[in-house]
Amino acid sequence: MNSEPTTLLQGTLDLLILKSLVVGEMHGLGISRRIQQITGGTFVVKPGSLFPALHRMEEEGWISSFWGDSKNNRRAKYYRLTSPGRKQLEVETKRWGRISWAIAQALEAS
Amino acid sequence: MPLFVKVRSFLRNLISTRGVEADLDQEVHSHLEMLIEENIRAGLPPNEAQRAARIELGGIEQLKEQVREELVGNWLRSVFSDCRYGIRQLRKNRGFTAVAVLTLALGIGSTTSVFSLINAVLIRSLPYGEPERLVYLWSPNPRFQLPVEYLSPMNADFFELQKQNHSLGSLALFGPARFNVASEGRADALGGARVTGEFFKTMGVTPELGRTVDEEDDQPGREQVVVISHRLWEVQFGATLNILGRALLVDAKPYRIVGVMPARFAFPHATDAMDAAKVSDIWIPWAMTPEQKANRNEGAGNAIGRLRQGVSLGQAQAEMSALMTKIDALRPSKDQGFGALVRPFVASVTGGSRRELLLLMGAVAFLMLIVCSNVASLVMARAEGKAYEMGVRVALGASRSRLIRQLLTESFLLVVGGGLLGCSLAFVSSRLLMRLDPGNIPRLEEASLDTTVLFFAVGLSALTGLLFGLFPSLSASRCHPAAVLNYSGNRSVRGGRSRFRAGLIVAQVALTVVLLIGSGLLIRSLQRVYSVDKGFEAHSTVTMHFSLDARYSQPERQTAFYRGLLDKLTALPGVQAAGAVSNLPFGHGETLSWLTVEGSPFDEKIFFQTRSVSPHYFSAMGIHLFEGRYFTDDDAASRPLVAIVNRSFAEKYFRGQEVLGKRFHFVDGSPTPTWYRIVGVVADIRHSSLEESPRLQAYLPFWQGSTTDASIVIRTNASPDSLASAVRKGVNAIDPALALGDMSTMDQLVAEATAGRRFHTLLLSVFAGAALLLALVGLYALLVSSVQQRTAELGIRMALGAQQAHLLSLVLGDGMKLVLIGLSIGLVASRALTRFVARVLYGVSSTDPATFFTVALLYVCISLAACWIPAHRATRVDPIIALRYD
Repeated sequence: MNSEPTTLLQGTLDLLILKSLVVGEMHGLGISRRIQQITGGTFVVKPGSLFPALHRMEEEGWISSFWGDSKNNRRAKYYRLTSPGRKQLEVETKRWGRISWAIAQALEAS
Repeated sequence: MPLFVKVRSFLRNLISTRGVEADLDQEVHSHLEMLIEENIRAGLPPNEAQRAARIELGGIEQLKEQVREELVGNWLRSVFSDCRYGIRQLRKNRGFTAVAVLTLALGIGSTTSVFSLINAVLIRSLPYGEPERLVYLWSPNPRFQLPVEYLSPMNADFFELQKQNHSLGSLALFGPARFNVASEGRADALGGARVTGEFFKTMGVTPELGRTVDEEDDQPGREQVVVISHRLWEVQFGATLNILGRALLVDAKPYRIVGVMPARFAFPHATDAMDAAKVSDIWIPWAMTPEQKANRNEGAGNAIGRLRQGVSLGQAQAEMSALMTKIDALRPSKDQGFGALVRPFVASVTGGSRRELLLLMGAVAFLMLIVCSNVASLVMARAEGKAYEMGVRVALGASRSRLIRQLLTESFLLVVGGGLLGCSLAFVSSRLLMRLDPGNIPRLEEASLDTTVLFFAVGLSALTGLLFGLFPSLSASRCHPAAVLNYSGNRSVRGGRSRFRAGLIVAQVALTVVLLIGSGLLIRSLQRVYSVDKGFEAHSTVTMHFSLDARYSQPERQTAFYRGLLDKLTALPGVQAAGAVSNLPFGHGETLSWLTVEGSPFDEKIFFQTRSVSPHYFSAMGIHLFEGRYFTDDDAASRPLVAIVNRSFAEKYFRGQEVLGKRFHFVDGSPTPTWYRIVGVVADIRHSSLEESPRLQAYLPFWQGSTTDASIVIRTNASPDSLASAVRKGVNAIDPALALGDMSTMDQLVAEATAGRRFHTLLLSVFAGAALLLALVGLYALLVSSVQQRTAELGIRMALGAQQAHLLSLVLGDGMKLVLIGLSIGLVASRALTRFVARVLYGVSSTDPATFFTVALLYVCISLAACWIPAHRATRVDPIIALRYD
């Protein structure tokens, strides 16, 4: 329901943010809603988790930000993927694949 | 380039803080507005939409803080802002800051200066190569009850040991001596040593220029070379580089300078060996004749050796003892009994002052504890006042670790201030300590604030900051915003903390009482020492030392010199009497002899202090005559041998009998005894220490014996300086190669003998005084703040009819209760701890009831005064205002 899984699995939030930005640049609220949408409503990322993560990832150089106008002509801060960000997404995706495969294996073993 | 990006972000966060903040603020607000819009679009009424958005967002300030904590360089930013905030806070509370910083400076300053002494004396390595491998070799003989360092190996024994042993890589002899050193028309009396060829190799030092005395030099006929100290090179020769090969007259014989030692080498110091001058300036080879080397009844030098690599002290001791057993058997059986004792050099050098220094360190550690508890108590009192602020900050999203960091930053700012001030204090006080140099602490003059000491000061400050900063920070940060904000004041959380502060006060009182009692005992000891009857009149005297060289080997020439000199001196204006003595009291030299007194059996355990004195010595020194007569000029070489004894001597051997006319003779191995007839009895005098009771003393006429080294005592009201040039002119007229040494007064010599005791008594008293002051400040501050906190309660009591006297006794009682508890603990602790100072006390028991009682009474009185002001303030509380308070 909420951001609990991100505290359980470090890096999940980063992965979801990177993934949601693949389709194009987006502001904070957009990212939050996009994550909600692509996870079928499983994760609702609250601003208290989202913004610290965005700022951290920007400082890592994975995403960059700029000020733009929203659909309703409102000033909003937009984020977009950088090329190191794309590479990071690949790394995170592979890592996640390994983890979920491993967990699945573990659960299937009797 | 992720690193580049990070650095860029770091700089941006650091430099354009304002821009980053504005950006963040705008982002959060636009997010909030978009949320509201979204909710409105979903059909919520505007009010509801805003409320729901705010709930989803959480607190704006908390959110911003969460983001800030993620930013690169956040720690630095927060340290900066903590420091800025801390400095602002401290500037707002000038009184608090001043008291805390001064307290810390006092503690850090005194601890650092005592440590700088310990560093110079006990820690910093001696200027000798691998000093831990150096050993002294003594030859104690249980037949004589003498301290081991009175007995060096006899010459023949030494050379046997040197030849046969395998555990020492090298073994050398040195004989401290005073020399008349003349060059370019002026003569000076300088300290130095005769050394055998292995000496410098053993000490492990290399010269700064030229070479040292080596094995080639200590042969008769080749010994005319001299090594000089760095100091002498600078003072006498202006540090000229073409010093080597220059001539120097040492005791009127020509020597050639072959080397200059480095600046720190001045061995032996006065603290290293008996008879040594304060520092050594010249070293000449000790060229013994074969007969001297074969002498088994005389040991003129001190033996020092260097352990071979890998050989332990125990192994060396075992070998030396075994060898010595064989060697001892070579002498006639009646003379046997000499053993060998190997003592580590470093421990011997520092041993004497170690206890005193550790005593001071203990005292200063107590002071430091008081400082810490005092500042902790102050910080806590302030934290109590800040509980509301803490509550607000927690409510606004500050994390607990953030608050602790903030409070710790403030403590560290205090410590930095206190540490800097303390180091300056230590710098000044170590200069002062050097002026107080008691002379019995080796290398004290080298005490300085070097890197070791500075590291110590920094470490000490950090530890102090943690000690007094951490606990109050932890307890202050443990706050529940709801509770604090509801009470809107500071009443709820103080029970535990005041109890803790009260505990600190009790501990301070106890520590202070221990220090006061320790210094009280030392002060009483010092008084006892001062009031000791020395046996002579120290006022109005001038003393000096002469050391006659080989040209004066005949007794007639010695007598002629001293007679001529004394006649010249007596003729000087203002001189009442002038006398010569072979060993001046408190002049660091002693002759111990065995005597047989007519009618009593010989006892080899009893040593007599014997001195040769000229006729007017007694009147010059003001030594009282009980019976008979002083010596006269008629007691000359050709006349019957006479002697004067002291009162102890007379009482021990002739109690109730006529003393005059009785006889004694020296036990020196000669087959026919030479009898001396007693012609007078004089007062007992203290000779080397005011604290040792006088021994049996005998005086012989100067003109009937042979003495090369002698001191002159002049009774005069003139100052040494005004007399010096006249005396120097007189000496120069008799013999220009002789130097006048150690110009002093008996007052100065006595003061030097008590300087060590005065030094540690003074320091300990200063520490105790500082501790007392701090403890009183602590007590006062606690009562002031407790009266402030209890204003409401006091108001209610007053409104209900409590008398002023009652309120006064209430507050006084609170304070005095703590003092009395601390006092009792302190008294009990002192009883247990003063054992450790028992060995430095004189004439006072370590549980001296008078001292304990005086300190207790003094403490109660002073504390009453310190409690009085806050107590009096309590009685001035206006019930109306008090009840409105908070």
